[in-house]
Amino acid sequence: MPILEVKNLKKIYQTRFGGNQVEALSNISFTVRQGEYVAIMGESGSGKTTLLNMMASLDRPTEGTVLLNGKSYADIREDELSSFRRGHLGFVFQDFNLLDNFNIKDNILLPLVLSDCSRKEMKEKLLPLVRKLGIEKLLEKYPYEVSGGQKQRTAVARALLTSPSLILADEPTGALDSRSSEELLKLFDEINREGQTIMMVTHSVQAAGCANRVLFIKDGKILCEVSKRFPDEDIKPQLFNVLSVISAGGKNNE
Amino acid sequence: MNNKLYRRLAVTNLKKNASMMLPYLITCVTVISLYYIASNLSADAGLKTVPGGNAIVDFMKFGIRLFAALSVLFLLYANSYIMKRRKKELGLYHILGLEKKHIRKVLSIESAICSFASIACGLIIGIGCHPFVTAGLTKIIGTELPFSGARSGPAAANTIITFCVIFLLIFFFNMRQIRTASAVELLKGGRLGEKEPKANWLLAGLGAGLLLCGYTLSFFVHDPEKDTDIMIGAVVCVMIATYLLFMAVSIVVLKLLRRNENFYYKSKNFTLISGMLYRMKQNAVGLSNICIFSTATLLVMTTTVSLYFGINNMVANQYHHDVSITAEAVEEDKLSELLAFIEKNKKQYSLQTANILQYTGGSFTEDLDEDGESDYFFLMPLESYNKLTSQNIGLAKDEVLVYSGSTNVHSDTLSFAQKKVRVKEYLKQFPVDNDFSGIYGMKWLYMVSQKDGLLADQFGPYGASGLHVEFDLTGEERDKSDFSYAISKKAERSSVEVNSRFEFRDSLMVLYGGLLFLGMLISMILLAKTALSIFYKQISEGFDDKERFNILEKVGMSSKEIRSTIRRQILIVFFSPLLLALIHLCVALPMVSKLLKTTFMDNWVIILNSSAVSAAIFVMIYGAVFLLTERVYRKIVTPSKQ
Ligand SMILES: Nc1ncnc2c1ncn2[C@@H]1O[C@H](COP(=O)(O)OP(=O)(O)OP(=O)(O)O)[C@@H](O)[C@H]1O
Ligand SMILES: [Mg+2]
Repeated sequence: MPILEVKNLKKIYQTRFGGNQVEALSNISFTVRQGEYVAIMGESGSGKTTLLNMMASLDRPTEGTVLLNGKSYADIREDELSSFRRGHLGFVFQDFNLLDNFNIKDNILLPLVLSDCSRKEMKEKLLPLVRKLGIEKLLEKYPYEVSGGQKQRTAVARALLTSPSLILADEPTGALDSRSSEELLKLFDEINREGQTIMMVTHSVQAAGCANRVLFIKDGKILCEVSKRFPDEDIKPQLFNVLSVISAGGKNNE
Repeated sequence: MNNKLYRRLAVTNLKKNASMMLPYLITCVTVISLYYIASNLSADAGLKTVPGGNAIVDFMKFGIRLFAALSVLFLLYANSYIMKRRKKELGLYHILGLEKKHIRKVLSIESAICSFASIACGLIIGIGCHPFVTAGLTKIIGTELPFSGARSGPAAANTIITFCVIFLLIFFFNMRQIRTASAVELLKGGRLGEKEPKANWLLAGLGAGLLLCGYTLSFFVHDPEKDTDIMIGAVVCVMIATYLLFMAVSIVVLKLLRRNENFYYKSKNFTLISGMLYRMKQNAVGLSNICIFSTATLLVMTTTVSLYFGINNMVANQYHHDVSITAEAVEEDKLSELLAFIEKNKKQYSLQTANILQYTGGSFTEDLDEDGESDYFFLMPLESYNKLTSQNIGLAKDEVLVYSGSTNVHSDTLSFAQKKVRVKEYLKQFPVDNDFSGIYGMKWLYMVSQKDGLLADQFGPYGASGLHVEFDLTGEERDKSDFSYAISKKAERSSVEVNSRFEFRDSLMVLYGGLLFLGMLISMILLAKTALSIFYKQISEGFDDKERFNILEKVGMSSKEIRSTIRRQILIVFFSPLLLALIHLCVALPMVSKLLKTTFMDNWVIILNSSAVSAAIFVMIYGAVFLLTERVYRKIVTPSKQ
């Protein structure tokens, strides 16, 4: 059974003044299986963030359904949505989204605290995770006292802490230098090998090259996808190819 | 750039910042109209002709100075919040190529527009409200006021000049902020990564100690006139303690709560405590100011309301009979004439006289105990005493009877101008009861002696042989008052002195009515400004909190939880200063009541009721501001859904 099913997803943004409508997504369908590592690529404004927000249940689609573990988001009541999100999804963002007023430890624990878990459970889950991510020395520090890469690892720890079915990452390497990016990608690779399903939006071919499968979006539609035929295949040349075709196609259309 | 462009830019800026500017402008208008009203009253020639009206004029003169000082303080404070928010926008202009001198020009046009608009509106409202205000004042004072006119040029000019100066001051303050800020700073708008505040146990302990000290000191005030040092000490202690409480104690408490992991790691406390901790550093001073001003408002309200509603109590405490008449022995004819007048005319006012008390005597100050302290006493000849009590007591030449209203013990021999007299008996009661001294709680000693005894030389024509007549009137209140005035008028030209409860009450009404009126104006201004500053504080936090709640929502906090966190956070921020102010008020009540006793107002029930009513009104208005603020804050903070 697929872990995530996206069926005929459509999103129309109503601009604030007047009737100008923007169709950010039109008729998108795909499925993600347990343990997959999927990247989404596309030009700026193609609808990647919109799609991720739908899958994150942060925004409701105009049409179509999203099912996680067979359960449709449309069937979840508004007031249960956040606890559902907390329990089943993990987020990693480009700008980390850490809270300034919490230290690293509390930032990581946030989802568990919001679910009112016991202290014992928190401690049991926290320690192995931060050790794995190499941030156990930073627990008492505040976000403004650590580096960008460390912040992103904190965000990853926060996302992993609840053992979610799916990790959603929106340009997680976007604000990192190349070394931190590489470390983060290695980390994603590692947790994916341990069975974690990941979905990542990215602009970087380097990052997308780590995924098993890459979806290309243009103007709110899935254009094509590239998959690895065996685990360690280098698909970067293929990705470059597709990207150049897309941008050339964009020019031809004008 | 030409001037037209500047003007257009200024106007669009004002429109864009309307929701931010409006509360500020409304407060400006309120203050200006109140200022105009107060300065108009202080310049009113008609008011001076009313007995006691000079006091009102003095109150108003004091009031306008206070208003001006408070305006500078609060408007600067509110303005600094607006500027903090606007720094980003101005920084953007800077990046876009506007030089600082251009920004200055735009800002000066903006503040010219705002100043002109608020002064004009304030004056119009002030002039429009003036008739109602004078009507209200008349009602409070209970005397028809011959107001000379509704409009007054000098008052308007005074208002315009004062507020032009204040607005200019604020403008220069803004200019300085822009001059000193760099472009990057302007862009960031003062939002740099802030360190978590440190718990300062020393300051926290000092704060708690000072509060305790101030509270204790306030209970040691016995006589407000003598114990001014203690009183000022208590006030200063409590004020410093308030600042320390918000700056240090709050952080220590929050840190302790955070250290308690079982408490802290609960969804309903987690974000609240860390949020408060983060906020407290920047807010401590603001919250302390709000607390102190709330306390001041509450105290002003309590005292002025108590004084006004305690007038009857004061009258009863100082006048034991409705009318008391005093005359020197040589004026006996005039006195009889007046008494005959009263006898003849009381029917005309459909009144009866009752409890008539007629005696002779005079008051003296002597060191009776030879302890270096003067004793106040009233000397009465034996025959007058015998007549009053229908007795026939005899006294030896050096013997006296003494009645002491207070608990002070006196010896059996008293010295009186180098003469020693023996006290034959300390009387248990005395037919006359008077507090001539004008000092609350200071009871007179009453001494009875034979006219031709050892103290004979005290009974000369201007000594202890003064004539006193006291009586009550029974009938309608209105008639009693009219008759009292008639008696006074009759005695006007002689040296017979007439005092009546009714005249006294009317003079108190003017005095304390005027004070109540001033108190209401001051409370209104303080309240408006307290509300304004807390509103701005909270709103400016809203912009900072927006991002936090955005993140929290993404991480899985439901909008319901966000709402409840916001509500509790604002509740705490709003009501902690109020709560402390109410505690200050409660503790200060004994001191306030002692202060009020100097005016012979000693009715606890009235004081308690006044403070309860004042607190209730204050809490109600404060609550309304809370609801408004919460709404605006929530609109800013909660991520808008499509
Ligand atoms: N809240 C919104 N209201 C109206 N239109 C929107 C809104 N959010 C996004 N859009 C529009 O929808 C389209 C897709 O936006 P989206 O943010 O998904 O792009 P993206 O692929 O994530 O781009 P980028 O790579 O730059 O982040 C864009 O044309 C954008 O203008
Ligand atoms: Mg995006």
